[in-house]
Amino acid sequence: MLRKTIEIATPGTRLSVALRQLVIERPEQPKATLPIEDIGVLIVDDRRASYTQAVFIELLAAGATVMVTGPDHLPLGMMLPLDAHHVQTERHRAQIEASEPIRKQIWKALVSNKLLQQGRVLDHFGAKPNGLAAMAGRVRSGDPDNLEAQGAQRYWPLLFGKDFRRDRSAEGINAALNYGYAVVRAALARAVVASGLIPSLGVFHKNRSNPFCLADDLFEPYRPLVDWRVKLLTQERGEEPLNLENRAIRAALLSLFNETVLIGDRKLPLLLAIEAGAASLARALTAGDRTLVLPKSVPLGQDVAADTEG
Amino acid sequence: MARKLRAPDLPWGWRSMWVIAMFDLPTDTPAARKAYARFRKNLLEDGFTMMQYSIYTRHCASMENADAHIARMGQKLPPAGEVRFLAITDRQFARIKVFWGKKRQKGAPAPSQMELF
Repeated sequence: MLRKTIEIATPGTRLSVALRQLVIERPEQPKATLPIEDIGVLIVDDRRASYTQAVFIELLAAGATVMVTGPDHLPLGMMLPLDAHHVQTERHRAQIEASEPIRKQIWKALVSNKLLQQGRVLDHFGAKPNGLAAMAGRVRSGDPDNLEAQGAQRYWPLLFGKDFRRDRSAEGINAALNYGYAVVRAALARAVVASGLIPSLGVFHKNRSNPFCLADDLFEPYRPLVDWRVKLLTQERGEEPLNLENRAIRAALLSLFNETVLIGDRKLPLLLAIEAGAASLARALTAGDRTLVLPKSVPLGQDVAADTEG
Repeated sequence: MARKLRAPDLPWGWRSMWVIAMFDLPTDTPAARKAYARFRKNLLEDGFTMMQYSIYTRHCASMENADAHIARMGQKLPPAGEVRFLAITDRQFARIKVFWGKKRQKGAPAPSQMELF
């Protein structure tokens, strides 16, 4: 079932649980309640928010993701349940023992899919023929030619113009990309853990300080979906800079979770597509089924009403 | 022949459902009152909210989800009395006309899959 995405940003909000419902109390506004089991992602972007312990206990028990953001509105941390999958120890062992060729094949599939998705995003915005699909066909096991980086060099100037530079701390387009990446990556990390995998043990990413290497591997094919949303925002907003202080910008990026994408041969909202992708990664690493279920289209539309009133 | 619409192809207003629980429960004995109170608490814990006395509603993301909630409440029925569950689409529910005295009132807005507080 598609669960809800909830963002809390009203200063001084108090969260508690009563009768298994999340109770949201904001200053001078009527009390709101939501069934805990309907919540998929809770993002708290309010420095003055206060909680009862039951909020975390109930949300984690229900398998929801809880994200806390820093002063720049970017997710700073999240909570994941420790006991996430009924055969997780067995999965962990199989994941550790997965051979180098299996891991390289998986990385190949992820890079190839990312290049195809980047090509689809460029096609959607009517860029010139970009050759990314052809590049996707040339990816070899483990991507020894680093076509992923070559693709990026071709992709970014075609999407955001040749003066654009990806930057993890800049403002505007980069800030919007960073926000979108951070929330989707967090949802992926949760899905990876819920599939019974170790998030820190990647197939390609190996950074010693990164606890979510595997989520970052799986994240690659999903990045172009964020790029797509940000590009659309730049078109919708014209000259207005993309500022994360603006709640409408954050809401537009969060609404990605409800966008329908083609994944495998099914159409699913992104939040469910992420779970299907993580489950297929678990099968590929531990059960020998190499077919990864990854996005195959730009977002196809959002028929789920996105409400901006609380 | 009309194409059968699958879940994501259906507009949200036709896909998301409201379950309406209506009940008449005896309150003549202390045991009956206790059973009634327990059932009402179960409804609230399952995410139903009171629309009127003895009428509770819950928004569900899909028909399957609505069925799941009806089945779950079906396990928790009180021993005596009548309980009815009706599931209708959000589109149908939105056409509710609410009057307070003779004055027309606005119905509550439909919940969405993304909410900002």
